[in-house]
Amino acid sequence: MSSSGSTYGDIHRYEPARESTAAAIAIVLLTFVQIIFVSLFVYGLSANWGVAGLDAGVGNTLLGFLLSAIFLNLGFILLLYRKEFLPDVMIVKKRRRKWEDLYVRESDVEGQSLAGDAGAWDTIKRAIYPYYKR
Amino acid sequence: MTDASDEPSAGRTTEPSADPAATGDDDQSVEDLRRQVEAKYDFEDFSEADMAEISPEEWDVAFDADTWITGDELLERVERELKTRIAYREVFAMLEYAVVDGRRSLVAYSDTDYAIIFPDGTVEGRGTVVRDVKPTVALCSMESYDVEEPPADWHLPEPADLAGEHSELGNWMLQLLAIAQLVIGVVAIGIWLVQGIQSQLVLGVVGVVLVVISLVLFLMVANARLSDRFRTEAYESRLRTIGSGDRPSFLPIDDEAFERDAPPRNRSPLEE
Repeated sequence: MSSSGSTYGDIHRYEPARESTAAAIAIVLLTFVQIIFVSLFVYGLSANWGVAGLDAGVGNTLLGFLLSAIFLNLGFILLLYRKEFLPDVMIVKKRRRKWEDLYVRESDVEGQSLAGDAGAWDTIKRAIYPYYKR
Repeated sequence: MTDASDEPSAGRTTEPSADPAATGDDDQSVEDLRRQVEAKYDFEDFSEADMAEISPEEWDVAFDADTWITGDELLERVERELKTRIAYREVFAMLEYAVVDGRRSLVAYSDTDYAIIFPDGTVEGRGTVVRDVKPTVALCSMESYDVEEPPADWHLPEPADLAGEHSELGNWMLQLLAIAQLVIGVVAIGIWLVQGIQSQLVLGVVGVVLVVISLVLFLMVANARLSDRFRTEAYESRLRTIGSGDRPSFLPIDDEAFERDAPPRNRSPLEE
């Protein structure tokens, strides 16, 4: 609750995290997989898997796969964490003016047709010749 | 929005006056004006330009009070709709009936602001609650809008319920991951220094990146924990204020005007 008379920042909704069992299992598994991938990647680099002359270049592919898997995995872990392990909080904010509040009129919501009243050819004429009849 | 809530009150201007002769005349001219208005404007395709052009008198005439739900039915619909929205936590408010200016109205108030909904659809008040309530009233005054049935337990949560158990599993997993990556990153930097700074350059870069990622993860967890603590506290204190047994002092309504003596604690209001 705010004391200054403004309600900005007041908490409007606070729903505790859901923490479903499936998500809990998933985040544990993904975390361990992530640790394995990261250590494997570092080991592979230090063992020179990436140097093509040593093993016909297969190691390079493997390292590439590991690197991408590391980042994808991290992405999924963060996604799960945010969705299932953080509370759903909504606070009162000030709505700032948007472009459409200022410049779009209600009658122009659908946009303007290229053809206009007089047809498309007329529009083109008007566009290329500034003194064309109004 | 304000249009919709103003409209029901506009309909009252057509109410007959005391003098029967004058009433007859008025009816005649109103009928005439209404016919003119209907010829002049296309209400199926009523645009912004028409809105600018139409005069208040024409608007009053064109308005048909019967097309909008007003009175007790409106209040009842608004009550149900607001209960549903409170249950979904879209609106933070308490609901009570009170007699304001001689009319039975619905009062929604939170710890900082309030809204009074009159049977004719006008909404008075201030702050967030008004902004939340106004669209609801507009929707509920439309025949075509189906009001959702609120769940049985629609109240705001009890402050005590909030402090309930919530596991730290997510935080622990992220911290575990951060520690593991920190260790692996440091090891990678170590190997890079031992095996040759030039030949294992990539290893060094990877080590630094891992350390940075782990620090970011730590920061994230710390931030989540800290902000969560403050937010729970703030929300709890808000809930406690609203359910403390006193109505907020800024309400422009006397306690006697309310239909119940004591303001309802979360579990009891409006339960018949």
